[in-house]
Amino acid sequence: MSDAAEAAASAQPPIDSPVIACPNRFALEALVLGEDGQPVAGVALELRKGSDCLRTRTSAQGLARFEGLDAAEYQLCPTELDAEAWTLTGQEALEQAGSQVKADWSAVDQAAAPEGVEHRVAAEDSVDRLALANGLFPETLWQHPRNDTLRSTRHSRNVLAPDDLLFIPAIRQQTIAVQTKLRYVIKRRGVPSRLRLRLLDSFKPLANIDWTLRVPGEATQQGQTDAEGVVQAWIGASASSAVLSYLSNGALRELDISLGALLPGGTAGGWRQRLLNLGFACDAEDQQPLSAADQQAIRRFQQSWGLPVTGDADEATVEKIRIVHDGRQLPASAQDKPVQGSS
Amino acid sequence: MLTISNAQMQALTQVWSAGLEQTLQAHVQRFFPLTAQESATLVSAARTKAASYDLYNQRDLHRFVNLCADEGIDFDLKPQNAWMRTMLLDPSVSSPSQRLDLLVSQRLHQARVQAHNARLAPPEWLQ
Repeated sequence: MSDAAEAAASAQPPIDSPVIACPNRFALEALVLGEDGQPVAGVALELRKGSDCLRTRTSAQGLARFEGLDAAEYQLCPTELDAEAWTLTGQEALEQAGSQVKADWSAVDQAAAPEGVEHRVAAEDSVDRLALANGLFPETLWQHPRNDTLRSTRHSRNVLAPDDLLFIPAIRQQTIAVQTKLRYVIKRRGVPSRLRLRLLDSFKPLANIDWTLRVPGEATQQGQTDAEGVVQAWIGASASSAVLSYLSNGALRELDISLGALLPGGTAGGWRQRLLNLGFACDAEDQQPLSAADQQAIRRFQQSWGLPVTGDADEATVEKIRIVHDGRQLPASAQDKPVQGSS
Repeated sequence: MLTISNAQMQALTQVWSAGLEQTLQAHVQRFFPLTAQESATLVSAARTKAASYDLYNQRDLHRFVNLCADEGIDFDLKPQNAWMRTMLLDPSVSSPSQRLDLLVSQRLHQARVQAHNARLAPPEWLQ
């Protein structure tokens, strides 16, 4: 958008008609915020009065406004969200509650509710991303009884393998009673997603260093790692990549992050991704037999963590790679330290 | 109580409508580097296009003309702007005016995000 267009957009448009109606009708608004307290755009909302409805979506500021209403009670429904994916957190008086606009009521859609579907996971699918696309709270999707089997084999809802079968349940709509002259504040649960990343140098945390996180289409964020070298940031669940910049030993480092691309730890691709992330330079592509670089990387890892040094991606080594990498799922007995600084 | 007949309303509206084109042209010339002739051509084409999106009132026309002046009269046919056309035709928003509201809001938001990101892009971030 050009500067001229921004200035033009900010200019107060003139009145619409030579005759102004008395503001004997009213408005109500809904403000949708995410887990981070920031506006959520594009949430479909329907205001119902009997068999009629008004439809709109939230703006980039998270606001949806219904105008031209009689002072009465209505039903408000986020039509594309499951009942567990949102919650009413408050209401406040609406300052500009008068309205001169004529409400354009239409009939409520009586289409049959869709049923759940079994989804074959594709590369870069994650539960968070699929939950966002289907109007669900991520845990509603992940904890669904039809996903028990998958859940038992995957350690994290966002670490799925291509061709995994994930059941995506249908949304269950929920409405709330609302009145004119009020703004209702709704929290969209599970949005945005939380990115957590730990920066280490020779297995020592890069504590209290400045970082900048760039995600395409989103506002750049800045922050500082904590004492454990952890970066935490909110990012859109639909984001597929990010670039993290930070200063390490006076040099600018840039880290390209593929979001949702991490494979389960027990798979060949999964241990390679983790080994690379941990700084052990193996080949990115899976191959058998293992290359010299693979064997060398595995040997170094095994040596670092006091495992028998075989150079083979045996079950114990692959599991140790997963535990070291995935961190927060460390069993108590495994919260050990490397034998010596490495990588 | 003041009562205005339909005939009176129509007369008033005609007067209002006659001046609308000129008002829109003045608005365009105030904010965009266009000649009088270019403004007239743009406004005329923009009004026709706006009608295809059910946009008729003066407030909507001002904003729609802004859009056409900034992005080009065929902005909605460009592949990179497919999302704009989708928003202007979104059946999940009852009011055409609100569809345009949402589009304008989204464009302003994107412009602000871009400005914010430009400020924080390396190497400025290192300074």
